[in-house]
Amino acid sequence: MSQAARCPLDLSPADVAAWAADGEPVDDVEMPAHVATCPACQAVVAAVAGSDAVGLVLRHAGPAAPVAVSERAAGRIRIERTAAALAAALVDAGARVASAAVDYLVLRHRRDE
Amino acid sequence: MVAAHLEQISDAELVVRARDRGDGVALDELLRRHRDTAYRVALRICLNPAEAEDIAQESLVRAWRSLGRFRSDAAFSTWLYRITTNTALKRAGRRTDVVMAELPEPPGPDLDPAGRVVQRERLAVAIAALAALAPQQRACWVLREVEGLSYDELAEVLGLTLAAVKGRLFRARAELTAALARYDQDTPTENTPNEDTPTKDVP
Repeated sequence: MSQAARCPLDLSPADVAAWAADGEPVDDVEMPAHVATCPACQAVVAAVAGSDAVGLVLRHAGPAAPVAVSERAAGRIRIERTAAALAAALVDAGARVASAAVDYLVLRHRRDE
Repeated sequence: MVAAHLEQISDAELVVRARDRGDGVALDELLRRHRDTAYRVALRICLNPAEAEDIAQESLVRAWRSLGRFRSDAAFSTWLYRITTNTALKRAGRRTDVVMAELPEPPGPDLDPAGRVVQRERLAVAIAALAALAPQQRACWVLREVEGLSYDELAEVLGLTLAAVKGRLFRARAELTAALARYDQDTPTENTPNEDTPTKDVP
């Protein structure tokens, strides 16, 4: 890309490239007319031309994920859920044991009195 | 019967069932439905099939863990793009090996065998150039050119401003175009005399 020419409107190359590749509008600028007369913007357009063909091929190919991807994810999720349920049950059981112990101690204390 | 019924349910409804009711069947369907997207994005960013499988799996698990915080004002797929991209970029920062074992077949059944070889070579050059990009640039390019996200979606998924998105896309595209131009310059076409073939003194 030529560095000698400079866009008279001082448009950023990223904006010009977005317009050229995807038709993204550039505020208050009639791009086709401007680019036709601006060597700097023409250089930007040339610098990004053709790369979309690569994307098209990759999009066309679109590899499928191995089934194992979701099966392993589901397996990990089941393990995490089971572990969480087990932990909650243990906490609950521990709380009940602790509560029973307190009841027992209170009863014994009263009996000793 | 059950599977056919599930396929007609929207992502949003599956999310509600999986998140609010702990419906495992709905969750399995959600994971099955989106595993290709997660894998494809991961593969295009890390360019390594084995790594992409791990990233896709991890992304699906992360999505489930965060499902409670998922705001349904965005599409589930957009949200998963963000999780997968972030997971892939975190790993990409740690890894330097790139293995793009599977090379897609260029479209165009009308190409002759020689033309097909050239197209495959050009694609290999482009993928090598893609691999040489900074991971953030590559992610931006993949999400735009392969996944077809809009500029606004890119900004949301990548957590960037619109100007930053345009800047990254510009640099990525320029690198790919330059790599292909170098290849075309170095590759003799049908009309270019082959240096190995004598053109003079042929009896």
